[in-house]
Amino acid sequence: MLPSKNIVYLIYYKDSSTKAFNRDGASGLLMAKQLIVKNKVVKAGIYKRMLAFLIDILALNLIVVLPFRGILAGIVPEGDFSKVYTTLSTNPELLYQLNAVYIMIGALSFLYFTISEQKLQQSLGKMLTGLYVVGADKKPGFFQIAIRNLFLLPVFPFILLAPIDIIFILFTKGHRRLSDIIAKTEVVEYERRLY
Amino acid sequence: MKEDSTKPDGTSRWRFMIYLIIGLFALSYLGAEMFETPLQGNVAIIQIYGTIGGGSSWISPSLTPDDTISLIEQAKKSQQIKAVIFQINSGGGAPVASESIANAVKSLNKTTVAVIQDVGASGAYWIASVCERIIASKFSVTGSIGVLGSFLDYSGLLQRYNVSYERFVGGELKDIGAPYREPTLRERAILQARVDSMQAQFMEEIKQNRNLSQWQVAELSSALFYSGDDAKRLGLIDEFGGMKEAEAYLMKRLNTTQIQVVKLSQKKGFLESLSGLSSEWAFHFGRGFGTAIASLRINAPGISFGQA
Repeated sequence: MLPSKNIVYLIYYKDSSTKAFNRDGASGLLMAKQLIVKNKVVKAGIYKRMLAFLIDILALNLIVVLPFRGILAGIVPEGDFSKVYTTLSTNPELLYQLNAVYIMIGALSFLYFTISEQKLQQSLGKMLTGLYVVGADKKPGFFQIAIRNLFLLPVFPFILLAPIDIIFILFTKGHRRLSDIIAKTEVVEYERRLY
Repeated sequence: MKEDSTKPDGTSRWRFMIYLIIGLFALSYLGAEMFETPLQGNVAIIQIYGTIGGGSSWISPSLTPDDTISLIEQAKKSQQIKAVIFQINSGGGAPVASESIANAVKSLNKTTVAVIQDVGASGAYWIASVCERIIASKFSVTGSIGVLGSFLDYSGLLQRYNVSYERFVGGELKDIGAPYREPTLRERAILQARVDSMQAQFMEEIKQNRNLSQWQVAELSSALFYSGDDAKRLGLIDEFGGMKEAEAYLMKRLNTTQIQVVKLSQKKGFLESLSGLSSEWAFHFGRGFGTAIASLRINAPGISFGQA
C-alpha cells in the first residue's frame, strides 16, 4: 500500500501519457501492474516554502528595491520612528512619493512572481529549493498565478491578503495560503522514485 | 492524455530566469528615474565645475548650462529651500551659457552665496557676481573679466606643405576668422571691435552686479586674474573663507541656528550610473587588493612589505 493519504501521485503510463491520482487510485493501478511510476509529488513542507520565499525576498531586494535605494533615503529621514512619523505626517508631498515608490516596488515584485511562476511554475527561490506551483490537475493558468500573487500589491484590498495568508499558513490544516485556495493552486515538490 | 510538461530543459529555465531578472532590474531602474527626490534641507548647494557650456557624455559627464538652470529651477520651486550656495570651481566658458546661468541665478529670489574654490574666473565669475555674497580663499583665482576670440593661423603651415586655401565666399566677410589664411587689417579691426564690445558689456554687467567704482572698473578692464587681497580690494569678493563662512553668513541672514544643506545634482543616466558603479567597484577592488598586498608579511633579504 502507498504510504500517505494526502500524497498526489503523477503516474506516467507506458504510452507516455500522464495522470494524477490520489493514494487509493494509485494503489489500484499499481496492483494492476500496468504502469511505471516516475514521479511522486508531495505537498511542500512549510519550512521549505519559507526558505524559498526568503530567497525570493533577497533576490527582490537586489533586483527591485536597490534602484530605489537613493530615493527612499531621500524621502525617509534618518532617526527614530517618531521623527519619521512627524516628518511624513507634516509633509504630504513626501508621503505621496513614498506611497508611489512602494506601489512601484510592489508591482515589480508582483511581475517577478507572476511571470516566473506562470512560465516555469517556479520563482528563483522555488527553483533553488525544488518547489513548484501546480493547479488542481494541470499547469496553472495566468489568472491563477496572478491571483495567488495579489498579496504583493500594497493597495487596498490586496494588502489585506498578506496577513490573512500568514494566518492561513500557520493555523489551517493544509498550510495553504488563502490566495492559493482562491486561485486553486498549490505548492508541491517532486521526488523522483522508481517503484 | 496530454503529457505533463512540468520539467522542461534545465538550461532554458535558468536562461529564462536570468532574462527575467535583467528585465526587471532595468524596469526598476527606469521606474526609479521617474521619481524626483524631494529636498530635505533649507540650503541647497549647486556646483559649477569645469568649463561652462561644454558638452557632456557618459564617459566624461559634466554640468551643462541646461542642467545647472534646471537645478536652479528646482531650488526656486522648493518651499523648503531658503538659500542657495553656488560652489564654483571653473575658469569660465561660453559667454551665452554663462549669461543664461547668471540670469537664472538673478531670477532665483532667494539668498545666494557664491563660494569660489580654486578658480572662479571669467564666465564663472559672472555667475558669482550675481550672488549676494562672494566668499573665496586667499588663494582662489578670480577676475579675468574679459573676452577671448583668438584662433590659430595655419596659413604658414599650409603654405609650407604646398596646400592652398581656395576662397569662394558670398559676402566679403563670410570667412572672417578662418584659420587657413591670414586675416586682413580690416578683419583684424572688426574682430577686435567685436571682442571689445563684448568685453565692455561683460564689464558693465559685473560693475552693476558688484556696484564697482570707476577706478575698480578701470583696473579690472585689463582682464587680469586676481587672488587674495587684490581680489578683495577690487571688490571681486566679500570675504575670505569657504563653506563654513558661507553657512555662518546664511545663519545670520536667514535668522536661524539650523542650516541643513542638500546638494542638488543632475540625475545620472543609466550608462553614467553604470560607469560610476563600475568605477566604484574597480576602486574598491583595487583598494581591497592593495590593502591585501600591503598586509602580506613578505620578508626577503633587505625587503619587507606591509606592517612590521
